[in-house]
Amino acid sequence: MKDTVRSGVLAQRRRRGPGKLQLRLNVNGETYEVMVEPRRTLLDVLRDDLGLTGAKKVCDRGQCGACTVLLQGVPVYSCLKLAIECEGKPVETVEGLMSNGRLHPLQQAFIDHDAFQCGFCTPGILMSLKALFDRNDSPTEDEVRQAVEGNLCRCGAYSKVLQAALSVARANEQE
Amino acid sequence: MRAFDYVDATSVEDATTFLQDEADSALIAGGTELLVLMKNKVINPRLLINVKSIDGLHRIRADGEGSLTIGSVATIAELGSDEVVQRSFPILADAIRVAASPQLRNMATVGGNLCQKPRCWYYRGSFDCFLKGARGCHALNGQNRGSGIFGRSECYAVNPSDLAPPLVALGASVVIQSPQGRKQISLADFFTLPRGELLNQTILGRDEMVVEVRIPKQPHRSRGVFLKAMERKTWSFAQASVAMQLSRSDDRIEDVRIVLGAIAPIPWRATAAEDALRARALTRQLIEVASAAAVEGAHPSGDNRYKVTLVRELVKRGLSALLNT
Ligand SMILES: Cc1cc2nc3c(=O)[nH]c(=O)nc-3n(C[C@H](O)[C@H](O)[C@H](O)COP(=O)(O)OP(=O)(O)OC[C@H]3O[C@@H](n4cnc5c(N)ncnc54)[C@H](O)[C@@H]3O)c2cc1C
Ligand code: FES
Ligand code: FES
Repeated sequence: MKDTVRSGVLAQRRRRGPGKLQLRLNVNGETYEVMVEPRRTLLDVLRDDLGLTGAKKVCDRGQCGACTVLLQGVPVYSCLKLAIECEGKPVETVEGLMSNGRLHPLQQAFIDHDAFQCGFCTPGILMSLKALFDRNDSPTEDEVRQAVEGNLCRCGAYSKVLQAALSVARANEQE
Repeated sequence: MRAFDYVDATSVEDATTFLQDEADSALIAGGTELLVLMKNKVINPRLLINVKSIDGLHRIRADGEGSLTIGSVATIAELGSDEVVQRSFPILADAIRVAASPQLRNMATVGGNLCQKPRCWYYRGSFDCFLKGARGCHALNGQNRGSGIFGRSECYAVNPSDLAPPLVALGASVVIQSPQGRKQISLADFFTLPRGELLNQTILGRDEMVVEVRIPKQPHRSRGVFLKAMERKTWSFAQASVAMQLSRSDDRIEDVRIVLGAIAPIPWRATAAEDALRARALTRQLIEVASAAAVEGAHPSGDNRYKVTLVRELVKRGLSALLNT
């Protein structure tokens, strides 16, 4: 926590905004250049500037989890992150889950177990689960429940979500 | 949100100088509180000063002799999974486990958690209220289910932090810095009842920031409990909580701190309950006496009467859990 000598004039020049400025974002392994104001959230930039509409905007206040994405591998609510805070940090969204034209095992399990109705919560739940499975590929029921505690499902698909996630965990265990 | 400038602070001095130079500025750490207040236009700063960019400020350091120093931008998820916290200060780990949601814990910082504003409906909505510089508190005769039952001042809103009660129970202190210098005060003295010109629940000045939080080594054979009552099992603010830490010698209680959360504008020491316990052996009878003492002097104002029952029961359950340890 070393404090450095600081010049007032130079310091003021480091202020950015309030108008649009160029940001470089790294989303699902690709680099995007966008022109956005500091007040734009990561969620709005993903959806409106990058056309990545997987992350959903529901409450916009940290109360539902539909906007969950991974920032540096960790689940966060993208409605409460400014895009400018994410410069140079890898972001993962549901659009990045498929690889080589194949669904992620969690996505396939959601289909097999019918783990959604309207599907609005699904991208967020998948990202919370992806972070869990990246750390621990055969989690217990309690670990799965805790991982999705911050994602509401208005349709109440919770038990199917649990079944889907546990089916992937059991399959991984057998490998 | 209104438009604003943004800057990455390079040091604590840099951040506090920006605070001093731009009267209409705010620090942003996790942003989980600040951005919601800005979206609701409760506050409209012209400059956000990012403190997460300050080198080393996220570090959690144990000194090997039982104390811990927590950098203010450490996330509460990092703090909750810290080995020293889990081993030596389990009431803090327990409080973190039931605070907010996993995503919020990944974002929220320790400094931001201690500096968060009350969740009062009037303050967060488009009402003029005491905390916004108007007179009187609407909650007195209005929506007061969440309001306080202790520490009545000019505002009835409770302090919502789940980290504050365990940290106060552990005797923590905070290091605060402004362009004029650095000081360390006890966390209990960091919180204050809003009154007069002070429209806040902390003593933090306009150009001051929380740099770190320090937890001292606990006495030998010290034990604690944290309990939180909530409307649902997760992702929910406390209706009431209790953090207690006590140490015994020859079965007699020596040091004891009982701190109540979400029932006053500050983390509230249940001093009458502590006095009832000190120098005595913990028995079922004494627990009855102490839990009744914990709600002595409570003054509910309407729909918050249930908090009196909750507090008494939480203190009773907490002490009972310590009975045979
Ligand atoms: C849906 C929801 C549920 C929640 N549930 C809980 C809960 O159960 N328990 C609980 O305890 N909390 C809960 N919270 C609150 C959450 O924990 C806080 O929003 C968070 O801890 C704030 O930290 P932050 O780093 O995000 O702060 P920010 O939003 O960045 O800042 C909050 C305030 O503190 C100031 N600040 C930040 N850092 C510093 C510093 N180092 N020095 C001085 N000032 C500073 C900012 O200027 C701002 O005024 C909940 C929040 C939400 C949205
Ligand atoms: S839209 Fe972000 S949590 Fe609801
Ligand atoms: S499937 Fe509709 S909200 Fe979850």
